[in-house]
Amino acid sequence: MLLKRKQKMTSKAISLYEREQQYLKRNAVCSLIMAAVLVVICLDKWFNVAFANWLYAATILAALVCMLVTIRDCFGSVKAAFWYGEFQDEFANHLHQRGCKSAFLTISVALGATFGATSGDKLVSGQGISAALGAVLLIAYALPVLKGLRAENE
Amino acid sequence: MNEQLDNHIHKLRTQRKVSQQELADAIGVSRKTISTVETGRFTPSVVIALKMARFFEVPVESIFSLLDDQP
Repeated sequence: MLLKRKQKMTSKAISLYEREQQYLKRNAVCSLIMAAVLVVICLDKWFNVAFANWLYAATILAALVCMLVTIRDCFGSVKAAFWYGEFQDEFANHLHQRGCKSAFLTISVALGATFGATSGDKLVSGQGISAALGAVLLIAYALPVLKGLRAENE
Repeated sequence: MNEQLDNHIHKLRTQRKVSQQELADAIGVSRKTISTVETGRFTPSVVIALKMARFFEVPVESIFSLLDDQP
């Protein structure tokens, strides 16, 4: 009886849930790599780091590879779910919302801090500040998602 | 961890010899969802709770209970 019920309730689109989590994970990893690109831009703008060009090339390459893999393996419906925040899997939805909430709160604090820090007569690079805020945003989204998706044994 | 909610999913699964993946497939969620609900890291919606109850053929209260209600 239990087996019959099990078979009856099994959805044919079951792998969609795993695909959604995979997409979420790859997207978070992509976000972290993109954040690394932005951090390198900041280092270059603010501190004129000598090896910034090499770092920049390496991080851009890593980000491109990660984005291509993410795009290749994911179907349109999963991508749409990410942008509209409507994943079929409840836990994926929960993680995505947690990531967005964390990103919103962190960027609010970071914007406030930036406003306070740049309110004097100091001249700062707008490109550098944008890159720094972008990095903060991406990291704040990716970390809660990856933490929630960390491996767990049965 | 949910401080207020306790669940007996692991006990029910063990009794019926059902793996997390089998339960996840049966109610249409990912294995990670079952795993996180079971460990109390994620509180599921009423829909998932009802699907679990239907799968195990028990009332929802037999799967989830408030910690205050326990003796």
